[in-house]
Amino acid sequence: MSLLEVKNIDVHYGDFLAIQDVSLNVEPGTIVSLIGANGAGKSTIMNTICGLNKPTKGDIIFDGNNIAGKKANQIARLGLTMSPEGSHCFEKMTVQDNLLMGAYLEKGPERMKRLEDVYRLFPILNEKKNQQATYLSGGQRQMLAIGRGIMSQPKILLLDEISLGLAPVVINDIYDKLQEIAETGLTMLIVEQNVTRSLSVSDYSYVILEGKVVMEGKSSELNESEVNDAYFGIGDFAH
Amino acid sequence: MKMKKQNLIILIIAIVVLFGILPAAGSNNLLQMVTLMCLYLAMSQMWNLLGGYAGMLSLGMQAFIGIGGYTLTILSVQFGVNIYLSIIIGAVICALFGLAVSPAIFKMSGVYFAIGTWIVAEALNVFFSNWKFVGYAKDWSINSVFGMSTRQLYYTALVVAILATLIVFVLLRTKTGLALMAIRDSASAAETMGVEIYKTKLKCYVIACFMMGLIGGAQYMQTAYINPSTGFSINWTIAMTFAVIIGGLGTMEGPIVGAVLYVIITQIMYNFPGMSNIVLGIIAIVVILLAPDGIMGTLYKKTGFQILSPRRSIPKVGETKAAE
Repeated sequence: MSLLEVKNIDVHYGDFLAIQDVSLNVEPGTIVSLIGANGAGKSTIMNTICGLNKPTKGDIIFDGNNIAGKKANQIARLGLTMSPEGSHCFEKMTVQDNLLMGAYLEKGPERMKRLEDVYRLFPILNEKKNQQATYLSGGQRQMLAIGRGIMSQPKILLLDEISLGLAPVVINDIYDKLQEIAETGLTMLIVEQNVTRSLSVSDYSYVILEGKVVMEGKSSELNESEVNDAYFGIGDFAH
Repeated sequence: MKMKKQNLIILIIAIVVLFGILPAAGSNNLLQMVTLMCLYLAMSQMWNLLGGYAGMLSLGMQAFIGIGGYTLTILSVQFGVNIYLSIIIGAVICALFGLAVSPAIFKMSGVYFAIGTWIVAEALNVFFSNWKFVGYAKDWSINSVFGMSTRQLYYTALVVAILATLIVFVLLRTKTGLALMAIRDSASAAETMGVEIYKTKLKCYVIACFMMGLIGGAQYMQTAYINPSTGFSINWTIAMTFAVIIGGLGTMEGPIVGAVLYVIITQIMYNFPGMSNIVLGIIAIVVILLAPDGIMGTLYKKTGFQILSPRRSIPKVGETKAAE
């Protein structure tokens, strides 16, 4: 049974139809990626799943509950955590407080234990723990966002725009860490703009174009050049 | 550089002793000035809790000063209720009033929230100015507080100031405090962490309203007369805003430093009526341009100096690991 099942959702911004009839499946213990260009609607899908946007049509079944239209804080309580792109750190709070916010729903001692785990995974965050998040570099902010996500020990972690605006060497670092996290069995739904990287890290991929799913399949079986066509809306995908 | 626990305790004891013996040592003038400082300190502390930590920039906190003052007047003058009991009842009414207007003003955020709260205060001004029972817009002498000693007023203000600082200190160290700061920095991210935004903000707002009512009562105990246009005057909020901005928005020491400076400046400018707002304005502009984090905020950024931290020190998990 799927852990997360998005069934035929539509999302509107006012009159504008941003997402049209999108369906996704995430099996437990896998990494699923959404691939697509800027403005394709990837972040809208993520925000709709975690409750920051409301779908105008369709259902979202998470762990047996229909969460479509529920509030983000209620969805978080069910074990679905969203790490928005790095620009959404709590700027004026310290790195440590940012992480502690991740385990907001937990009691004290448990939070300390998880904090230790995150510091082991990202030692740089330990070094900077008393600094305000606003002074972190782009890569460190992304680590903070991921760390904050794991602090809640979710059933599924949604990671938006992992490599946006980061240097390739930093991206490599972050993906190494993601692999480490994946080995613990955590289910993840990620958004990535880089096709090659996305296919190599995930088990299953969806290509989003203009608010619709135009291609999907096991990441190992998808043909990269076809994915590229779908990504840009050229070749068979032109309209 | 955070202050060590023993040093902090010594500092607090020293301050308490100093303030305790002040009435015996100081002149009446000094005592009155410190009383004012305490009241402005308490107001600024509450304004900073909302504006600096919870991201709710209010321009309408004078609503609660006015309600506190009028409740004191009505209950103690008209019905002969004990003065301190009147003040506490006033604070409760403020909390309830804050709760009652929250559904409307919480729909707004940012600058709209600021204007919305201001309108509520102005509406109260108009309402009281047209209310026969309070004598319309006329001055109303609070003769129940006549004959109170300077010392008594001073201790009341001191208790209110300590209470306000303590509430901010304790609240920020709870999980609610953490959530408030998170909402201030990114409401949507805070919500995806499981924070109930509306409830958390409301909790903070009602606490601030209650305290403002208390401060309003203590303030009018010393002013000894009230009318709607001074009771609900935006000048209260201007004073709080000034104190917090020059002291340091989002720091706990900022409102203390700011309030002390505010009272000193207004006292010096007392003999030059009309000039004090110009001087305060110039100081505020200079501080905003040169040190936008305020005095204590800049000091903290430059040297890491902090007396009252909103965060509890946490066992240094990573460092013990590295030592193994």
